[in-house]
Amino acid sequence: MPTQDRSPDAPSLDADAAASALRDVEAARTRAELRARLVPSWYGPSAAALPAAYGMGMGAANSHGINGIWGWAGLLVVLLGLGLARLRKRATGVLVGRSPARKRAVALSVAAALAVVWGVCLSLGLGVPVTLGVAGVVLGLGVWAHSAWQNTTVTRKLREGA
Amino acid sequence: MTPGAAASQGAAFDAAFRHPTRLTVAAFLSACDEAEFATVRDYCQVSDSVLSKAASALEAAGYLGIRKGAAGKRFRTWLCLTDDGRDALARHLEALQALASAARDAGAARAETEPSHSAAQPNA
Repeated sequence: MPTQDRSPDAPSLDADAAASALRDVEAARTRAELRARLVPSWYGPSAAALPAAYGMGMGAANSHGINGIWGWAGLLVVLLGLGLARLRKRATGVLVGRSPARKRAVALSVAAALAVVWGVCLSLGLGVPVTLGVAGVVLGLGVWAHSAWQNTTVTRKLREGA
Repeated sequence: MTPGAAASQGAAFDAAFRHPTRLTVAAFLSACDEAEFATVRDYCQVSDSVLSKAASALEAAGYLGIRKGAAGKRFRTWLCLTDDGRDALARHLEALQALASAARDAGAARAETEPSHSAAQPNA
């Protein structure tokens, strides 16, 4: 429960006030952690469009035998993705650093998902250009779906805690 | 330890956190690296001036850092708890915990002794 500014003086502390203050502290921490996990509504579609467009573009370029420029465009896409993620974090108003272990886990799960998609596409005989496009679209839709799911969960928890 | 004894350990309580708004601000910031002024203000449900005063008091104690940054044409103020602030908050919370659990233990001890005392009275 948030506190109000009651008086400029420090209030005296008794056991009940201490217990109440501890509950307030826990509520404030939980709220901050939840706020940091909120995703702005624009993030899902933007984050989905980036890898999807890149995957399809790369697939089309691969089918025409021009891969060079798309390799460099990949660098731009990575930078844009990082910028988007930074904007998302700032938009929530609460910044929480992710641990290296968590970053590693996210990178590994994305790589595993892409490997599965790649394997399925190739086993279906779709060829590299189509596989690239499908992998980009799946990655984009995955990010969007995860953002929407995370937002729903966090919003519900915030409402419950209010 | 009795509640009185815990309360007498005045050194453990940090005067900077005795004010409810300051404690809430510090608690909110302790769960993140940085938070925007407006977000903290909305959570604490206080006015700009009240939060500004609380932030200044914590900053003066060396517990809070204030950073101003521009986002397009808008200026945004970011608040963060310093390492000293995190240590001081942890100590303050330990003291609060000690006070609350001492009171709980005292209450439990009283509850144990009172029934036998009141049960003994009718016989007397």
